[in-house]
Amino acid sequence: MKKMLFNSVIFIVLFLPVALAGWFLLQRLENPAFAKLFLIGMSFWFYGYYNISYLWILLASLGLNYGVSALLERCRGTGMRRALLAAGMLGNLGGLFYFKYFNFFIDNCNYFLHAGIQLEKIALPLGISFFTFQQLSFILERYKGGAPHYSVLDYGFFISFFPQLVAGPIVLHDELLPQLQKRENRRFSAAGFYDGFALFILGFAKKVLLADSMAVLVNAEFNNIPALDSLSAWAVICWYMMELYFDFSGYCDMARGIGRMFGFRLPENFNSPFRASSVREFWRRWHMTLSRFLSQYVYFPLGGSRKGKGRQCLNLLAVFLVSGLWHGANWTFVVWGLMHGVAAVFETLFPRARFRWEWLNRLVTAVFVTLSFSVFRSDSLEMARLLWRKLFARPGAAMFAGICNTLVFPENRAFLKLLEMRAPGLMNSFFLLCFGVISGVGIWLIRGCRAEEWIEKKGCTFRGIFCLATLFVWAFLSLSEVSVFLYFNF
Amino acid sequence: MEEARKKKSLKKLMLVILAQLALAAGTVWFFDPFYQYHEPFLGLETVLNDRDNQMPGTVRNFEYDSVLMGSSVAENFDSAYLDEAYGCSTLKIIRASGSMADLLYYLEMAQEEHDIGNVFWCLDLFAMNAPAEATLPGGDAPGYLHTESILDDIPYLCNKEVLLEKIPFMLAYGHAGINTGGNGYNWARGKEFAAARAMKAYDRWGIAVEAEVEQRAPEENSGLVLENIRLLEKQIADHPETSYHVFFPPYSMLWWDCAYVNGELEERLYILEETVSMLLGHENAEVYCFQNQASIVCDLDNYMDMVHYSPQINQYMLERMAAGEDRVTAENRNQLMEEMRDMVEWIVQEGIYLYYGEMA
Repeated sequence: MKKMLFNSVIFIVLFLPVALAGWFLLQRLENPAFAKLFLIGMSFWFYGYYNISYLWILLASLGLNYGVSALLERCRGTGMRRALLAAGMLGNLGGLFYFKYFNFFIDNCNYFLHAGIQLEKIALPLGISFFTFQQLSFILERYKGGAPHYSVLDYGFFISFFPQLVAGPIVLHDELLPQLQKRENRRFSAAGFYDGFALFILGFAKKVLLADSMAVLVNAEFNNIPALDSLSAWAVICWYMMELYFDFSGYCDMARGIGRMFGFRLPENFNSPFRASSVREFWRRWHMTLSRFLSQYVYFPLGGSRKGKGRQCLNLLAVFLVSGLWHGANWTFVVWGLMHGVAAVFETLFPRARFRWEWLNRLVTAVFVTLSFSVFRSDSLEMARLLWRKLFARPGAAMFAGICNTLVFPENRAFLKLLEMRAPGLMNSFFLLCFGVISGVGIWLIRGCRAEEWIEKKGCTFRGIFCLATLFVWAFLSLSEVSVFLYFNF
Repeated sequence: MEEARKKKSLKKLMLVILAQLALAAGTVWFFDPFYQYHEPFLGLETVLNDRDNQMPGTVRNFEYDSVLMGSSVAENFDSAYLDEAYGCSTLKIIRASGSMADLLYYLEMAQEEHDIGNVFWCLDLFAMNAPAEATLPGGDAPGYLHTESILDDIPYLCNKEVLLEKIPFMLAYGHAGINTGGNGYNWARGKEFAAARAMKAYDRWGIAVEAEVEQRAPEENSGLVLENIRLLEKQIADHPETSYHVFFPPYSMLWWDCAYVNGELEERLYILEETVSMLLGHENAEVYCFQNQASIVCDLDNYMDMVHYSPQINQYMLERMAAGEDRVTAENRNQLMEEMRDMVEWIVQEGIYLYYGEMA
């Protein structure tokens, strides 16, 4: 079954132009409800395109939370409000548990208790973690009195707005809805549209040209761990870290770019995460809207740092455990979350245990993060353990050359064929060169300025425009096979 | 100020994008490696090296009055020889499985816009008990290949693989004379045809050699066979103006031995007998059979596996047909079946062991 991804021909050629044209044309009408209704309908098409049955789950989730919000509006008694909040949370977390964690739970019961319970075939609806968390935050705010009860159109728009629906960023009601209600936002703005389109192009290129190229090697070698030696294992986990970053940040740039084209500013999700010099700083720069959610709705309610060091450490561990589980129903995610939790606790207990040189702190943080994400990517803890053993096995250049041989793309295939015929001895060197070039571009981008800064500085120069156009066309020409975003299953 | 500057930049960006896309799409349209729109321009060679992608386009857009059809065993024919021998212009129509329904899908597509004088059909016995429903269009095949509309062609016109790989390869192959002329789709280059290679692709050691294998009655599974025969018969009957030259290519003794080991020998002979019988009932159909040619079938040096023979065998068949040799008629059809039975019996009783002995 095909998904309508941001990086698919149908999305770029048909869906997005129709959605934009409809949105701005309908905004000319006095009543904004038509435009909202239109975009909600388009968002449902976007979501249901992959699997229409998921749409019912989204609608049920929307109905539940909107119902809770409406009842909270009517109830004044604390006990009743608390009961409503509990019901809302139970509904949201129950749904998430059933679709995402039920089989994991049963599997573990079977393993530890020898229960022998049959697993159910449960398909994970697209982006369920994202829209569940977004709505959880909303009803919590409604309970606390921090959010008004919106009209059904505004609420439907807030949750279903397609750029952020399936993989975030996790938008809060007070970030999006005031923009939706602003009258001046109803007009087409060439400046906003241009900035949004440029951001979309940069994200599109990051995803299609860089992340997908790296995925070729990473996917092949994560299926081939027993054959790796230390050099190749390090190359694979470093590339996976870069792939994940370019994939997810590319997606977020596309989402934010599309939002901007419609006239909305969605929150940033990444802020040069590899400049972080500690794990706690890393989480202030990586998947920032998730970190914000977990801080606001898990860490602070548990007491944050207000109840002493010991309690703070426990709270940190709890937050990272939830983060790990949120990412997936597998022990690898739990261990990955706990690794980050332990690192955060260490940094809290020993704030002075740092190197004098900032670059070294950054390097240590990057190495730790890369190692931890290798567990995140592994299919099982056994696989992760094997991979870690390989990281410290005997190095061998032959294997490294072997893994580079997977780097065959339309861009280099004709030249490879020529080398194969004329100078087969140089083929390994050429593959190593490809590895070096892609790694170099990746590192250069990681160290470079943020996408929006670049657009502001160079986006309107002739060179900038030519560069944007070329990246768009190059990425668009690469869409003959649609790839899958890594963060869709979270 | 900012709004005006960005508006100008947006226009420029859109223009540059459109210009680059037009350049890419125009290049693909001009060279058209899948022949979706036209035959090659400017005297460029026709290169047929990408069977499934090029087939629909060549069938629709090429000039020809005859077709040569079959599975991968038909790819190494030199269709230029047929052009010379029969005074026609022949296009190869190949489907890897040799599926009757899929080949008929292409043949009917060809008949829509061309007057087809000759159909040279390399008929595979194994295709006659395959499903009788066409798998085309659909499955993994890109939809745009099978429509004439340019509106769904974006994945072709704006495709990095076509632009950076298919076109350069097409030009290089054309320059080197590979897969050009009558040798389209020829895959024999670099392949080894030898008994050791063929035997490597076949192993019956799991079967106790002395054991007599019970053969299934052909009627048990005759439904698909009869359905495929009906499809073929309808095609022949509906086009009395077309000459059908149907021939059965020679599979190796390994294929026949495999049939014996799997208890399918009677089924396969039944397919041959029933198909020949139907074909002989039509005046516009000629039948040739090479399955009974023991000197080819029992010499594994002609093969690279159970069914794929060397290009010399392809050429041999064309020459024999052009000379009217090895034709099956109502008079000699019983003799053909007797020869087949004798040959197969010898293969499974003695012939195959000669090779096992040699390999041991």
